[in-house]
Amino acid sequence: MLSGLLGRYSPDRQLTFVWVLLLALTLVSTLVAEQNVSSAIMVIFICFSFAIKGALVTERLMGLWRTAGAVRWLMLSYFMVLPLLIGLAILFPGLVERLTTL
Amino acid sequence: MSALTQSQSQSIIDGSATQGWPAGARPVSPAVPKEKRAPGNIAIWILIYAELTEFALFFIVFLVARSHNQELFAVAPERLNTLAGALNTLVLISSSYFVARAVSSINSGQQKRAVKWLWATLGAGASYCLIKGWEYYWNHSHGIDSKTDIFFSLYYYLTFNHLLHVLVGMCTILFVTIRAQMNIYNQENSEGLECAASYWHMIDLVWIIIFPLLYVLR
Repeated sequence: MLSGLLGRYSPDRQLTFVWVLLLALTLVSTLVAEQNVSSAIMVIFICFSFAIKGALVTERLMGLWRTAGAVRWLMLSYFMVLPLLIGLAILFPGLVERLTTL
Repeated sequence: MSALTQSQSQSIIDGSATQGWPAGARPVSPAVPKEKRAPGNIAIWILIYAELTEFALFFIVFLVARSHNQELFAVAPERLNTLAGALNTLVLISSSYFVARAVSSINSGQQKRAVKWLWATLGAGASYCLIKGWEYYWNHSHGIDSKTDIFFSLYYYLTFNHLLHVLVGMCTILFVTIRAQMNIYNQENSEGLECAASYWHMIDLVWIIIFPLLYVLR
C-alpha cells in the first residue's frame, strides 16, 4: 500500500515522507502513553506502533523493500515477533512468571 | 595452488564461470541488479543479526525480571526522564533518515551532498550522546543509579550498552565520511558506505524497541 502511495514521488521525497511519518508515530505513541488510557489498549497500541516503525526503517530507510530473500524477511520477522512477545509478556506477566520459576 | 589465467579471471568477473557447475554447487550469479541487492555485504548482515540477537536476549531478560517484580516495574518508569527518551528517539530516527539520504545521494552521483548528509548523521549521533549524558546526570541528581533497584540496573545495562553501540557507529560513520570526502565512493562503489549505513540503522532499530520498553510501557 505504501509503495503505491509513494510510487509517484522521487526517492528522496519518499525518504522524507517516511521520516515525517516516523516522527509523527513517535510523538503520538509517547502522548498516548502519557494519557490514562486503559492499559491493555495502550500496550497493544504501543507494540503495534513500534512494529510499524521498525518495518518502516527496515523497508524504506535501509532500502530492503526492493530486495527479496532471507535478509529482508529475517529483518521483518524480527519486528513482528518481538512486539508480539513484548506485548504478550506485559499483558500476561503471571504466565511468564510461572514459566520462568524454577 | 596455480594462479588463474587471464581468461579464467575474466570468466569469474563476468559471471560466465558459473556455467557448468554441478547442481547445488553453482555460485550466486553476480548479475543481480544493484537495486535488487541488499545494501552492504553478507558480513555486515551477519554482524547486524548477531547484534539484534544479543539485544533480543536482553529484552527477554528484562521481561522475565518484570514478570517477577510487577509492582516495582509498574512504578519505576515514572521516575525516568521521558522527555530525554523521546528526544533521543526523534534524534536517532532523524539520523537514520540522514544516513539514508547520504546513500541515496551517492547512488545518484552526488558525492558532495552525501558528505553533508553524513556530517548531519554524525551531528545527530553527537546530540544523542549529549542528551544521554544529560539524562544520566538528571538521574544522578534525582538519586537514581545502577544500584537503585533491578529496574534501574537493567535500564543502565540496556541504555549504556546501546550508547556504546552508538559510539562505535559514530566512529564507523566518521570513517566513511572521510572516505566519501576523498571521493572514494561513487555509483559503482558504495558497499562500504552501505555497510556503515546499515549498521547505523540497526542502532536506530534497537532504540525503537528500548524506548517503549523502558520509558513508555508500564
